[in-house]
Order: sequence, then structure tokens, then C-alpha cells
Amino acid sequence: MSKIAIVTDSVSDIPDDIVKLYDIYVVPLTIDIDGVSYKDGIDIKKDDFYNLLNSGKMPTTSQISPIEFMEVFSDLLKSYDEIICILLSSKLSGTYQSALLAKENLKNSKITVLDSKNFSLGSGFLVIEAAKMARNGSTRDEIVGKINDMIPKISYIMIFDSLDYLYRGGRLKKSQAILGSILNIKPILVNNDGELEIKDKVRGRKNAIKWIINYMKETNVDFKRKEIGLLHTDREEFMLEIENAIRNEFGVTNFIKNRAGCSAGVHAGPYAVGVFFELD
Amino acid sequence: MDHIDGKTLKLLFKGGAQYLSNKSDEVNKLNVFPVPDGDTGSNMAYTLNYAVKEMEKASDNINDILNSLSRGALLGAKGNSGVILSQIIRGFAKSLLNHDIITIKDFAEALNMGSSVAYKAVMKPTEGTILTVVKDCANKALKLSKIKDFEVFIDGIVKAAAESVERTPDLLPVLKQAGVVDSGGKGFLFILLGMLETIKGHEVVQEYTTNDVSTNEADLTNINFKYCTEMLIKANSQMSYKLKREIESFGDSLIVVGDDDLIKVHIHTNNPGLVLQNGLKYGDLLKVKIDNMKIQHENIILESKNNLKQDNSLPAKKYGFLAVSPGDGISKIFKELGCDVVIDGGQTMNPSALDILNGLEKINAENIIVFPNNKNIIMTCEQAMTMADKNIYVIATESFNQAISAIINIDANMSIDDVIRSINDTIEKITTIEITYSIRDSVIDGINIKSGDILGFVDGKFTAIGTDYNEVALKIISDNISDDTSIITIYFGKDVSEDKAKDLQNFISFDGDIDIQYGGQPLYYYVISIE
Repeated sequence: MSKIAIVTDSVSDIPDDIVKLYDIYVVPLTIDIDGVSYKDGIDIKKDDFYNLLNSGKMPTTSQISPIEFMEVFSDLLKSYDEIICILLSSKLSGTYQSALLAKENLKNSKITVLDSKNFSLGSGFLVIEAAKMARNGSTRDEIVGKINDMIPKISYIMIFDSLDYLYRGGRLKKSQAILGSILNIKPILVNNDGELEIKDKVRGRKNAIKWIINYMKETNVDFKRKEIGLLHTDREEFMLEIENAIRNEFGVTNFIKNRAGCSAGVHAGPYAVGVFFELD
Repeated sequence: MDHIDGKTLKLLFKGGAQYLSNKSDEVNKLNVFPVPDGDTGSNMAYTLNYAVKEMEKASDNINDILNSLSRGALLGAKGNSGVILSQIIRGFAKSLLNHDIITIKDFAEALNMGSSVAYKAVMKPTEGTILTVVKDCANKALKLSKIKDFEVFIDGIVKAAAESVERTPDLLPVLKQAGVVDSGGKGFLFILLGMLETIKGHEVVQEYTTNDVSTNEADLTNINFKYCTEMLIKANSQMSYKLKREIESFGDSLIVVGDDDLIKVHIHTNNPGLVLQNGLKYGDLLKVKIDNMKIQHENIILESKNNLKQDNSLPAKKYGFLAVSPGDGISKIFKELGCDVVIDGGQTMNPSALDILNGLEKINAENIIVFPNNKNIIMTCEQAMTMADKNIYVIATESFNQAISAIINIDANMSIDDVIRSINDTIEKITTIEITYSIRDSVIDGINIKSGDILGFVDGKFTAIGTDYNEVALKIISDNISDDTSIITIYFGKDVSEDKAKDLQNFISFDGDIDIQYGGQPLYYYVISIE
């Protein structure tokens, strides 16, 4: 049986216990705050990051470089036979391109790089599934086949407090950022083939929750036996309200919850929440 | 005299306008609720004065006179009563076109035409209003059309108008309950009285110089009192009622609020000195602010004149928005939401059809959606719509909060039908609470109301009374939230501090978001939106 390493980036927001449980290898992005660079989750922890974010700092992220991936891949290939690397959407970051370049430079057919066309827990879902399969002895082809099958089904709803952070990070055209944070208007974003699409806007938490429930209902998916991912950027009580609503509406019992890491936090800004789920 | 010529026709309207202007305050006071929103007299006077000003530019040719009078009235129309008056004038003018002279019979028929045009202009005509009075006058005029003398004829119409005005409380129960006659009908009576004086050969003279709204551009406002005067007195707040009584005759838009050991006074007056003197009797003046509102208004007029052209540098967008706003905070919100034109106006400061029309002309869009945001501005907007050559949709919003929520929910990718549907859906789900105060002793629904009492309205219906605006607001909010309520928005007015609004927010027990916004609206401490 060939030994397969599962690699992802720090944007995947997989809870630490799961990372440890499945030996997932997380490569950090770089966070720049006031000219100082930090490795996401290594040089800077979430508490410090959110304190800086809440104090009004506007941090930025840098993609993982090809060199960094080459080092990681070379290192892992010493103890693994294969590498499957699942990264955040190529439309949101150049990280995927860097990994492809690293693979080309290493001229190693044992490395598979996949574009999750998603981010945060959306990529996280794929990574966890891949890691579970690797642990159970699936082959590379089996894992890649399954993940490619899952990619178009992973959906999310992000409720932002403001689009300012996304706009500043260059992830949004200016015309779309027009609704500022006035009047408690919350932009709602969904996944559109790897890109963030502003789907709607609502006012206030309660309307946001109603929107999420309606959107999920319209998918006609029986969520009861599914796992739902919940994410927040320092807004745990709002995330828990959403959890309750989903639990009550769909009878869901299985949640993966996390406070977003610095990379997702940079682009979502504070007080954002996200719901991630797999369609049928 | 059995007929009149163009010259006399001009004199009749001039006399009518002057008489109404002199009495406009008397008409203003005839509002059903004792809240500070009576402006029927000012609106009608503005409308007629605007028409007369246009008429005076015309030659003595009857057609010239009628055309300019009619167009002037339509453009100058302010408030529902002003719009109805402009329609009466339009019908009257239409009937008399192509006459060399005007006989008594012609005049009677013209009045009758004015009446029927006005009835048709109103979606649901209500009896006991100006419509009834003009109809009664027209009927009487037709009966008197064989009379040979204009003076006797007009005297007869005046008597019919006076009797009709007295009957309005019998036809409209809300008038009877409030113990007033209909304000619009009374205004119409004053116009006829001015015509009667004129036909008798008496010149109707201007009674108050500051009340004149006819002579020049800068005066084309209903600013009766020039100086917006505000003072903060270090004094026992218990004395605020006494001070209020003393200065209430000095002007209008009076607000006296006591808070701990401070009294805050706001008044529009022509005598700021007297106001300050009275304030000094109670304690030290901590702060005084006096603004000449006429100069401010002239600046506004100049600014708006320089800025009248439609911006064609960009292609027409799909949807344009025009909103009427009663406060600077609200205007700012409308602009942030992407409203193309925001026009100042609300209770006691209604814009004219021309103001709206000018705004519409500036917008370069395939469809323009208009939010009047006040019951008394809806007809004005509809009148402006008929005069502009564009695709315009007037939404009958009665308060600005309805428009704000409606705009937020609009998706510019929707078709116009869906946009209108979305707007109406949004508005239907909103409960609007307004907190204001009483300006006189009165009885509403069997409840005794004293001047200065705080009054609460839910969707325009009087619901609560008290002495503290936060208490009244809290009670009504609590009564109107349910499990379905998703968000509460509190727009605090210009006389409420943000701290006071936050106090209110803290007392509300609600598990959703409570949003506090500075609205800056006058007269209304709070406008609260429950959705």
C-alpha cells in the first residue's frame, strides 16, 4: 500500500484536532501587518490577529511561493510515496499556481495538485475526506476521483459585516462594494465556480439566518445526515445562533465549527460568518 | 357689472391670493391632530401665489392669463390641498379658454368645471373637504348665473362656501371629533373672500410683511419666521412648560425640552431678542444660535438652479431614484443607498410640484422611482410625474423608513414589474411608529390631550400618550414586536441626543438587531421602523 500525504494551505480552516488526527500537512500563507510578515497560525495566533483586526488594522496576505511548496513536497516525499495537495480556489489566490509550478520543477509524477474551487471549510471538507480515504488505504486515483466529484457540490454562504476587506484585498470590483456598512446591511456571498459572488443583501442577524435557512431549503438536500461547516471571524455568538437554526430546521447533529484563521479573516473582515455544506 | 375682462380677472386672483396669504396661519391651525404639522394654509397660499406670479407675467389677453395661471398653479402646487387647488384652477381655466370677456354664466360654468376636474384628480374623493366646498360653490354659482351683477354673484358664492365649510364636520367625523372645520375648504373660502373684496373695489393689502410669498424669488418659500433661534438655558427643567407658554406666540416650530437642570429651546421667530430675554429670566444662557433661514434658503435656491441639468455624460441607468427627505441624516442615508436626487421636505415643509419636477429632470435613467415619504407629498409627486416626459413610478410611501427598506431590497437586475412588486412587498411588512408632541389641548378618541404631551402613532394611527418620549416609544415598540420581527431601526430626530436614543435601545427587549440611526428630522423625536 502506498503512503499518501495530504497537503493543504492555511486557508482551509480545518480544526486543529482534525489536522492532528489525520496527519494533514498545512502550509501557511503569509500575513503582512504594518510591514511585518507572519506565517499564518505559526508566527501569529488567532487571538493576536483578531486583536489587530479589531483595532482597525488592514492586514494583507501573500500567496505561498513555489519555492515553499518545493521544500514542503521534497521533504514529504522522503517519508511518503504520494502527495495530494488540495488548495484554495485558483480564482482567489495564486497559491494553486505556485503548487503547480513546484510540481513541474520537481518533475515528480507522485504529486497531485487540486484546485478546490472553494475556500476555508469548503476546501477543508475536501481535505478531510481525502485524509480519511488515505488513512483507509484508498489509492491516489480513488481519492482524486472522489474529490473531483465532490468539488462542484461544495457550497457555502458567507454573511459579511462589510465588503471593505474583500474589496481592499482586490477580491471584488469597486462597483460591487457599493453597499458599505450603513444600516446594518449584510452582504451575502456564495460560491460561483471558485469565485465569490454577491448574491443578496439583508439587514440584521435574524434576516440573515432566515436567508440561510431558505437557501438551504431550496437545495432540496436532506441535511440530516450531513456534516455542516460553520465559520466565524470573531463572532461566535452569531455562528451559534445559526447552528441552532440549522439544527432545528434540518435536524442536523454533525457540525464542524471553527474560528477562521488569519488568511480567511483578512478577506472577510471581522464579524463575518459562513456556512459550508455538500450538495447531493 | 355683468362681465369681467382680463384685467379684472387678474385682479380677482391677486386679491384671492393675498387674502389667503393673510389668513394662512389661521388655516394652518385647523389640523385634525394637535401635532405640529398644520400647513394647509401655507401650502395653498404658496400654490396660488406661484400661479399669480406666473399670471402677472402674462398680457391682459384672457387666454394668456388662463394658461399662465393654470401652469403656474400646477407647478407651484404644494401638499394635497395645493394639488387639489391647482386642479380646480386648471379646470376653471380650461373652461374659459377662447373667451373675449367672462360673463357670470361663464364664470359659474368654469367653477363647475374646476370642481369636476378636481374630483377626477383625486383617487378617492372624500366629502367634507375642499372638494365638497368647491362643488357646493359651483352648484350655487350655476343657480345664480342669471344674476346681472358680479358683486352680488360672488357674494352669493361666498355665502354658499361659508355654509359648506361649516357643514364639513358633519360630513367628516374626524373633523367633528377634533372640533375643527376642514382646512382646505376654509382656505378656498378665503380665496373667494379676497375676490369679493376685490370686486367691491377694495384692495386686499398684505397684513404681515414676512408672510408674503408672492413678490420675488427668494420669498417663494413658506418661511413666515426668519430666524431659527436656539438656546440652552441652565435652569430648572420644570420651568420649561412656563417658558414655552410665554414664547409660543413669538413664532412657530417651537420645541422646549427640559432635561435635568437644562432647558433647550428651538423656535422660528422674527424676534430672537425677545426669545432670549424670556429665556434669561430663568437662568444663564449656556449656548445661543441664531440662523437667518431666508439667507439659507436663498443659497439653496441658487445651488439648485446651478445644478439643474440632467447628467448625460453616462448612459442612462436602468433605475433612478428620487426621495423626499425630512432630515439631514435621512438625506445622507438616501445618498449612500444610491438615490440620485434627494429633496428636502416633510411635515410643514412640503416641496412643490416644480421642486419635484426639477429633481426628475436631473435623473438620467430608463425608469425613475419616486418616494414622496409623506402623505401630503404623494399627490404633488404624482402631479410632477404627469408633467415630466419620462417613465416615472410614484410609490405612495408615507414615511421615509419605508423607502429606505424598499431601496435596500431592490435588485437592479430585476424587471420594473418585479421592482415595484418588491417595493410593495417590503412596505407592506413594515410597521412605522412616530413619536411627536401635541401643540394644543385637544381630545382624540375620547382621550384628553394637553399641549406638550408626547403622542405616539402607529402607521398613522394615534396609539399612545405620555410625558416622556422614550417611555412612549418603548411602550409602543414593545406592543408591536412579535416573533416575526426581524429588525428594529430607530431614526432619532434633530432634537434627540444619540445617548437618549441609546437609552431607548437598551430598554427594548428584543433578540434581533436594533439599529440606531441619526435621522435629523424635525418635530418627530423618533421614527421607528419595525420589520
